[in-house]
Amino acid sequence: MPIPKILVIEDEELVRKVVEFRLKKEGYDVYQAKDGGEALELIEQHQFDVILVDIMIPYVGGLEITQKVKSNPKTASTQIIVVSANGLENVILEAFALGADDFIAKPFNLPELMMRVKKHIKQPVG
Amino acid sequence: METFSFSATFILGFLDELPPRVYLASWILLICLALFCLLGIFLISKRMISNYMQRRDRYWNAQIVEIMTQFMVRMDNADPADSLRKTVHEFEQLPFKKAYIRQLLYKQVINYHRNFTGNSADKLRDLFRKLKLDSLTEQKLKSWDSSTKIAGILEAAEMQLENLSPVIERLIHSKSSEIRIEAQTTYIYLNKHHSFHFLKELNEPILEWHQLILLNLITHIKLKELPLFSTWLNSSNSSVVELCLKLVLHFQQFEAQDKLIQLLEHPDVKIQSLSIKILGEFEAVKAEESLVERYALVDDKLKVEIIHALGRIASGKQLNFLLEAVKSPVFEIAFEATQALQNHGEPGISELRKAYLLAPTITKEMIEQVLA
Amino acid sequence: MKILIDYIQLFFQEFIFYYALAVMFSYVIIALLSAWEMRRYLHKNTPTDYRNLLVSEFAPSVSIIAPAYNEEPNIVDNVRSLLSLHYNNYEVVVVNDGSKDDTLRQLIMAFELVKVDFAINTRIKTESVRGIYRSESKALERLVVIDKKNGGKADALNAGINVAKNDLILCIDADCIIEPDAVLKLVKPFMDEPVRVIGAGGVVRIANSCEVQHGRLVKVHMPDNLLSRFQVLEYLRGFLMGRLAWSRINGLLIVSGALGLFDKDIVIKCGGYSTKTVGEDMELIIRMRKYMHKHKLPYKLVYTPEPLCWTEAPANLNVLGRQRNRWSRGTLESLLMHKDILFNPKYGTLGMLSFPYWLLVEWLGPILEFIGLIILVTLIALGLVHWTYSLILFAMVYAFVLVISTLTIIYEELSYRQYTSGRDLIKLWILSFLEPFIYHPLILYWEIKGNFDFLTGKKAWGKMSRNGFR
Repeated sequence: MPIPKILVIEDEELVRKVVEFRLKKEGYDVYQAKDGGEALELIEQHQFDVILVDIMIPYVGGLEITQKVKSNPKTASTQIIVVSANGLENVILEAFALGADDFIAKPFNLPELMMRVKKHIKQPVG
Repeated sequence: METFSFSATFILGFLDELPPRVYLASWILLICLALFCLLGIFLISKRMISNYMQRRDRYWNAQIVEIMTQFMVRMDNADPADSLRKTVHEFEQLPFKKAYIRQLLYKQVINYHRNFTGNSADKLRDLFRKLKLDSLTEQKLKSWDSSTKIAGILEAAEMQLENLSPVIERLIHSKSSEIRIEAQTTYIYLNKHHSFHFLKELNEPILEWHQLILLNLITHIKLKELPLFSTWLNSSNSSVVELCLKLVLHFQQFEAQDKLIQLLEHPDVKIQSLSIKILGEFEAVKAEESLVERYALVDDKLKVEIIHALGRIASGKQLNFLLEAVKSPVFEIAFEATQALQNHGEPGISELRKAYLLAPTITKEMIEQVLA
Repeated sequence: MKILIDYIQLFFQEFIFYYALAVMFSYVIIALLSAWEMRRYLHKNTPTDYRNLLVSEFAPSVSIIAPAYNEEPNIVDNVRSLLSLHYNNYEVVVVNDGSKDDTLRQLIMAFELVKVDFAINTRIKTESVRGIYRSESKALERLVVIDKKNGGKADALNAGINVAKNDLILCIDADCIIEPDAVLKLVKPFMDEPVRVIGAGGVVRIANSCEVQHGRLVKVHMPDNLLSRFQVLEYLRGFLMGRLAWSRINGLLIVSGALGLFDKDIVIKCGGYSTKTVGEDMELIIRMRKYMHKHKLPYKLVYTPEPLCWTEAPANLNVLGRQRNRWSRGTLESLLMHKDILFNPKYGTLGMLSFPYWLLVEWLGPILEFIGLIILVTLIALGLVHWTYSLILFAMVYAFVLVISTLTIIYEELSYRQYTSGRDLIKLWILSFLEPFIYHPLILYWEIKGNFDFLTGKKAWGKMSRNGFR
């Protein structure tokens, strides 16, 4: 089985770094982007298994990325976990309506995030 | 020295012979020049000092972030105590005694803590205490400067420093209202105890901003037992009523419905509006009649709120009332009523379709937009 | 003839001198007040955790209104940056004010817009609206685009206000770069004042030569272009010193059109932006304040010294000249439209202090300076100038200007410190030496010309041509 590829999209460096290192420790192939523009370029180039995306990121927002990834047949199988500092009901509902596979509120529990990533990778593609 | 005294005499002698206007100007000129030199020196030295400090901080911050990231990554190892010990040791390798390093560390650990919860946050708090950083918070709480004090209170809450709660308790009686309110919330937060009695004694208005902070804190504590916030809805302090209404809404305390209906007649319009809104959110069918009764007595803004609430409740009993409102000459009311009918699902929509045929253009546009 | 010259000389010597002293004195007061206010602001807001506002379900709702006229090169990036601001409860209303270029099509393509049915609540009359567009993508629900017949900036803003559905409206220039925290920082004052806040303004900074990526400012640089660099100093002085001081005494008369958050209710009750003046931003503030005074409602107009908005400053003489010409006409028009406020105690600080200051210092200042210069030239020609005395007087004014400029730079250094490179700081400081000789005369000329054009009834719209970021 190939090494799962994960993309972390987050504008806060501190969080991005910790998540990145933590995922690398689990043996994943981790990519990172600090805004929506960078993220979309990476999504063009690679086929990711899981994308962790913050909603409030510069340029192209997390929800729009979710929608773009899910509406493109090439990438629709990618699992998307939406992260948001804003756990308000309407935000969560919107994220799921756009095709997000999971939602986690910020500040989050690192082990929990790891478990969720693991769970989404195990799910058979398609 | 001699040249100096010579030039001084020369200047003074020169000044003496000037007309008063020019004399005054000369003095202003001299003062400005002196001031200019002083300010220039201040500016340049300030910049040099802060550049130095920035470079220094950047260097040490990089080291700190490195260690912190390691700490976060190996945190859920088999032996957490060992990982903690290792990290503390690594930090002690830095010139840890230096005040600025401790300051940087203090800020960083809090910053990390803000972004994580659960196990990670617990470990970060352990680290914070092990490094004795809480003594810095205590210093802040005892500072004479009010903004430092407030920062200290907020940080004590963030890091859940229960040991500081006696110090914070004393601040509840501070002269500054900002400190009082922050201390009050943090005290409740740290003790996880529903000592909301201060709400009863509070005479001054709680600013909207402080209501927001209180709400955020209260909704984030895992209180041992949640009080019924409707208890304080009788308060004569409208800001307390306002706050409690928001809490009633957040915690979905449906028991408050009857009180809410009474509050529809509260003298403060803001409270009336909030009560209407919450009754709508609660889909309180029993409030419908009272809402409709109030309708004739209130201003347009509240009318809109009432119609919105009726749309949420959507019992189907007020279809005619809403249809009447669709004909209102006030745009906001008519539009809200259209939406409220649409909210009713099929019965409301079919009424709208019927009304569409006879409606004037603007109403037609509204119905088109809502049913699109 | 001799007597006449004597009188002129007397006027020149005495009146202008004491006028200058009075103006200098007012600057000293302003410098002190702004230092006080800056301290207070930093004190109050440094420990603030704005996330409280970000995560709250009770955060006030905001509609951002961005009028766009021929903004094709940057519109998509700028709207994108508006859509990714740090705030939850907001919508973005972009008003295409009959652009002649492809602004609308760019928006339609980038955001998958479609024309929708929309009943407009026309509370303020505007030029006709051709259509309302929304995105087909659910992720972009907060975006509304209005396409309307051209009617100028004020008219476009009014159309936006009619469509805006939230309680607070943030009026901005579509070509500005807004900092991600801008809404959070402007909304806060609406919640933490004991009286009703009707508006909040922010600082506008110069974006020329700054690094911009994806509609967001990445690194601040001093502009390469000398003319824009002068404007950096001028803006700093105006925003960090002038407006901050006025907000201290609740006497603000202008909130920059590039960034202002307002209570929509009051704006609508006042009738929205006026299309009769080129100074619509200032005129609205005066009208809103007047409204509050007339209805005896206690209120406050607040001001945030933080750098929240970056704009591209004119980099050539022509464009700058037109802008300044328009500004002085706008000021004069706004002041004349509300001349009944002058020394009217009914209007409190507004009538007794702000308004007279704008009239006697901001408007009259350049005119007196101009007259003074003419007289000076005449006297030189007649050989009647006492060179030593004149030099002392000039040196005094020059030294005073240097002190004020240095103080401005110090304020910036002690507060937000945007120009982190030491060379940029030195450049800025050196500039303050040159300003009175190079930049100031130009500004003076345009101000006089603006007044002249106003009197002769010329109403040319100064069009800004922009190069665009990237």
